[in-house]
Amino acid sequence: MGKYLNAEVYKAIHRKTYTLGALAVILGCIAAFFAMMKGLGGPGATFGFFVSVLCMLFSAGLYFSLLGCDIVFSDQYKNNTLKNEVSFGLPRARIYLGKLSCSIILSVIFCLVIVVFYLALAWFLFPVGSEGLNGQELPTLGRALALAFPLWLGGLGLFQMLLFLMRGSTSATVIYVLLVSGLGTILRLLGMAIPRIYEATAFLQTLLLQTPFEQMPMEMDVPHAWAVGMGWFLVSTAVGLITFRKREIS
Amino acid sequence: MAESILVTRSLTKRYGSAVAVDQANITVSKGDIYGLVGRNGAGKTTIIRMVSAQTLPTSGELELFGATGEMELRAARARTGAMVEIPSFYPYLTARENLEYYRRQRGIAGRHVVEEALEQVNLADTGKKKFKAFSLGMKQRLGLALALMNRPELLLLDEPINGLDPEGIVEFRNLLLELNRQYQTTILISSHILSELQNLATCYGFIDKGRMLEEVSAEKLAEKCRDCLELRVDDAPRAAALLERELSFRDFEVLPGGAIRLYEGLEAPQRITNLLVSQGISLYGMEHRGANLEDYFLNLIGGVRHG
Repeated sequence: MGKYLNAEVYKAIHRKTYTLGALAVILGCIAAFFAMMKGLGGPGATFGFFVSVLCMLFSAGLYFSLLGCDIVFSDQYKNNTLKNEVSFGLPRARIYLGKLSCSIILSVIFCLVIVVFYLALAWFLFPVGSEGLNGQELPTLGRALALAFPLWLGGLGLFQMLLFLMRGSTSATVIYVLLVSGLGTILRLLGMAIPRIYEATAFLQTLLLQTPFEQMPMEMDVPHAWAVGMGWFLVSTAVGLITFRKREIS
Repeated sequence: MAESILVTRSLTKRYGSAVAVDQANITVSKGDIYGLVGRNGAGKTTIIRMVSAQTLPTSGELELFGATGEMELRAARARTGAMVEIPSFYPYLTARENLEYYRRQRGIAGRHVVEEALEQVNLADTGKKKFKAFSLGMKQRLGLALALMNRPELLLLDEPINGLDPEGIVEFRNLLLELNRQYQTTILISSHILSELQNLATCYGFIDKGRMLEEVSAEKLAEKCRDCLELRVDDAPRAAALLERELSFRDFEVLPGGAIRLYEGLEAPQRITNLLVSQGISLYGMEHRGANLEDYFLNLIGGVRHG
């Protein structure tokens, strides 16, 4: 697995234009956001406020995970490169898990770069506030990260499964976005339309990747987030592995 | 007896009700250059794809370097190099970067193997050109470089000369012959360019509609395809005895249906006709025959299909 990861990291690093371009766009958006906030000013625009905003923005990590996966998966079916791997006798489980592991590593690096850049800009551009830091900002950030991390993992696992199952990255992305952002709405509407199944749909909504983010910052149920995130991660990885085992490479 | 490198027993691949490969039995021995001959859609690529794990057989057995179990087969595949259909690489990487990626992934020691493989296929000077900008010929060469990078004992090549220019074809042929001669690399090569196969193969497997029709060595095939005169007479045994006694011919075959195939005396057919006619044998026809690989194959599958 070490060799496989080494190769995947090598490939991701050599996809400079896409990898760095995507990161530059994200960082650019953050910089633009801060420039705008600086222009607006206001007494509430303190470092502590921007930490809270960052925690709220963690739900966007479910979509950033698409980026890491896509960089690693690299349109395998379009480029037809999987045949080079299986024909050498590499176990399909290693191929699947190797790409997943590399996606996780890349996404964590992306996440760190984005969070550090955001915090650095917030620290540099905005005052800590007249009352100073109240000592709650970093623990809040830590709890939000602890809540978000398993959910991001779940999203990564799900997207990788879709990439391996579907022929094209676009269709995988569309289905992923529908599952992550559309399923909750569908369940809510179903529950309202058919009162008999309201409780069932309400329960199903608690299993969605998006739900723990929606409950932030009022409620940060970290164990629930881990149960939901790891559930999606393990189930989608198992399904992906099983289906990829017998998949035609052509 | 030479060691068997690849053996398939009743190997079958079905896609729904369509049978792509039907109970194929193939034996490739060490040092062979095995030419898999068949028209498009005959099942050549499917066989190579099954050997290279790109598709799973529906039934039958595959033995590679003596290994038959799933885990053993995987290890055995690390001793092969494969180039199946159009070579595929990451479009945004250069030739060197693509090979380096696979070198790391496969755990092949030493970066020099990448340079050696590129030099072997004359791609060492492609510099920063990305794979997406390669011509088909360059792609084919890079595919071959990847197949050669781990010094394989068995090379699986599916239509490898598609897209190569004439010079490239000659270089490619010489490279394969050199690998076979110097390292005893066994090669399974499929192609429908039969004249090219004829320059390489030491044995042939003919396949049509998924079924293996015949496996034959190049010597045996040359024997079967050599020039002859085919006579059709009313009394073949008597004519054969006359030819043997009067003209001292020894190299001939008496075939069913009053036919005699003569492998000598081809330069003076009038001597033969004179003899037979003078002895009262009715000569219905005489034809100079000689088959190349193409003729032999077409004959085997029952001629060219139309429509």
